[in-house]
Amino acid sequence: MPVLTLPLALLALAAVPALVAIYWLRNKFRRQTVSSLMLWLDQRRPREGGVRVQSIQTPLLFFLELAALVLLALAAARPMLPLPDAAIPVFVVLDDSYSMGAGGDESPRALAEQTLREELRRLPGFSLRLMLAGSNVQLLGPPVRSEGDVLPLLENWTCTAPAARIDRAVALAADMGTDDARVIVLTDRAPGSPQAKDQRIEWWAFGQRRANVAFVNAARTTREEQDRCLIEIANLSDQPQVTEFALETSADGGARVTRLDLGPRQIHRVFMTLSQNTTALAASLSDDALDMDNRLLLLPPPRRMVRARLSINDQDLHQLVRDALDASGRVLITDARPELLITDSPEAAPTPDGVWMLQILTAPADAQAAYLGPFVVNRAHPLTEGLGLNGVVWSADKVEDTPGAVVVTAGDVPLLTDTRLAGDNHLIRLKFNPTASNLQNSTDWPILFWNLLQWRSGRSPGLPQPNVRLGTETAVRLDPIVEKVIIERPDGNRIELPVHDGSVSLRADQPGLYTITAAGADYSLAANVLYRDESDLSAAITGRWGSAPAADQLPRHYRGAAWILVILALAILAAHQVLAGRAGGRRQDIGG
Amino acid sequence: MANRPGSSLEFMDHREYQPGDDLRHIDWSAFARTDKLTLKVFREEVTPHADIVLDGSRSMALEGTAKAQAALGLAAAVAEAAANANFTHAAWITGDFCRPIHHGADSPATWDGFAFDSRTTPAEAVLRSPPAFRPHGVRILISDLLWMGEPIVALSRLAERAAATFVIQLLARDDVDPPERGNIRLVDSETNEIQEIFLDASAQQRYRDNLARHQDHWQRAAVQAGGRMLTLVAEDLVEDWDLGPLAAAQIVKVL
Repeated sequence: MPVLTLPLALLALAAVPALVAIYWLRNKFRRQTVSSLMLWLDQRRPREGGVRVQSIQTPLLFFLELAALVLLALAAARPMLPLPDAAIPVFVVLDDSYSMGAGGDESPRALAEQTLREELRRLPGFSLRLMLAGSNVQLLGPPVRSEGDVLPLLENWTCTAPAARIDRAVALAADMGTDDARVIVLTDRAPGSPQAKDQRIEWWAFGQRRANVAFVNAARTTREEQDRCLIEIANLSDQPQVTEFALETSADGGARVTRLDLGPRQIHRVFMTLSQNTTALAASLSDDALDMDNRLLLLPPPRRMVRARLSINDQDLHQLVRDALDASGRVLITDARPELLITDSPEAAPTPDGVWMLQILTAPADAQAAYLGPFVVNRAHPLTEGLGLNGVVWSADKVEDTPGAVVVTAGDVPLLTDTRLAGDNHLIRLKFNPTASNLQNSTDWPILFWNLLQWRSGRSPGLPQPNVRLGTETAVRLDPIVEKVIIERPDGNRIELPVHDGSVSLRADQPGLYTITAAGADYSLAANVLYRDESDLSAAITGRWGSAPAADQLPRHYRGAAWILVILALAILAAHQVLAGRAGGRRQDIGG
Repeated sequence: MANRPGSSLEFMDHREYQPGDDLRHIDWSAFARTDKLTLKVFREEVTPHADIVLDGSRSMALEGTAKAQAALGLAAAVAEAAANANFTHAAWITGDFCRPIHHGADSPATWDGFAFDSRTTPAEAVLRSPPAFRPHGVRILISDLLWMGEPIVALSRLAERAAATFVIQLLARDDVDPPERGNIRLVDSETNEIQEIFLDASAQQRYRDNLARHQDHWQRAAVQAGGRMLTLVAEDLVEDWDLGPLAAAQIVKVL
């Protein structure tokens, strides 16, 4: 129903009786019987008087004036028309975690989609926005107003995320929507946060408490000439479960199947050692309520060593460095195509051929100072991870002006600096005199070289870790000349990505094997579903929290309609003017 | 009522023959003597008579006016005056035709069988069937004369072979003075035709001008027919029955 913003303006309708009175008085005739009308049949009709009254024209003009008057009075009252119900905003948060796919055709996702479509058919009109709540929140397309437009968007609801950030999605919906917006959450869990329990949020859960056996942890590490593997299999139910654990490696040539009897909530661990020639290890469990966490793929970790060349004249210092490098087990001392040059020559200059350089700057005894701290450490730098420097005596020169970004400083004296060179090479300056220091005797000394090797290794082409958990974002280092890579995803789709700053970021949002092809080199990445909480379906539940406001309680949106009435009034007045002008013209014609 | 031609034939004079004269009145003796056609002119003595013609149309009984009362009173006065002057008289009333009023030759008190209810104008009635007026009599028409048409046509027929013709226009005060200003729904008393007009001073003046022009037409037609015309206002007449205007017009003679 339209509403009037200024109903007092309807007082203008008081002019209607006045208009009626004018016309009534004007059309009121005094009856007079005359002997004959012959003396009144005056053919010369002047305008001012004696005019034969046009009785047909007058009511039409009256009704036009009456309509215009009423319309203007209504327009002055500023009527507002309700907008169609299609304007009701609805935000639907879709739980994209992989537990929504449990149960096959009766999965929470299938039930939720069916319920959503029924709800949309029930609504007289809506403006729907779909929000995919996975590890991140994603808006699916623009607002849609029909069920037919919703269905294509629901195809993006794949339920492969390791977690659902529903709280973020709800907060985003609250920011984007108006106060009357409906927020519907489609999930398989009960609301947890106070925000989610808000009665204004319609929380629809379609989960079923199901037994599930899943891989919950897996790792493959390189140790000397072998790879060690750890696999954890969990019975995520309160009942004993039996499953078949199948293991297949490239060396075996076939699958080895083991029957596992798992007690309630039992975690079964499998340790194994693989030769370094074993490529991929694939494991699987028997099909159950949730198949996604029944597959595992472990790729061999990279065995690449950092080639380093030592050019240290001070023998004591040389030995200290060599010991630290050897302790890391990640370095190959060689003069051929070194990736890292460690020297104590102050004149040594970095070469532009991709060689990093650690320059250890010693000083004469009279120019030295021993610093006990406190040391200021740039914790954001890769060299400082795990660096404590507690109780460390660090002897170095007193020169305050050392090139490069300061990594560690004692007061105004930089002790460790980093200078980024062309080609993403680095020159690290370490001011250090072992004769008056105990740094080399602390755990920080091998940590410092471990961090250096780790940093340098990470900047070499390839993946830092070939086995990641689902949803992990991995940076693939590439040769600087590479401009683009082709990534083949587990579902077979191939995408091409540009390379920025020598690396490409890849989010493993599907479980399985990824293949990255760049300038003839191939890199493999395995993404595994290893999330115990998400695989645990014992917390899944069916229910509804919050309720949709009744139709009569929904705030209606209105649109001003005064302009429509004004236009109608103007049109009527224009018609009135035309009719009145014609009537006047006729009288003039007769009078002439 | 004045004396008029007598009731006997008496030689009065000779005059030269005019084409159309009755050949029976040629004095052949005088022709023999003078070789000229000479006509004997006789004075015809007849019984003096008055034909009183009342307009029987509905407008003569206009509601709210004294026209009917004045018309009857005026006709009766003329009839009484004729009787006083030793005139015989006959009263006529126009309807679809012009017909005698029952007992119209007697005292006005005995007149009967007539009403002002005709939708036919006196002109149409006279022309449709000419009444048997007595030749050489006096003809008096009492009417409001408010109909369209050439007055001379009806007056010629009325004045045919009449010794004298008088037209007394009897109007109501409302006929003379138009209604007051405002929206007026005019109803024709004879046809019931309706006309709605806005009446103001100029419209009132135009009405008066139209009435004056109409009266002038009748005045000239009356003269052309050898008669006279007099206008009276009914309300003024019935107020004191002053017949002075009739005397002034030499229709009656006051002794």
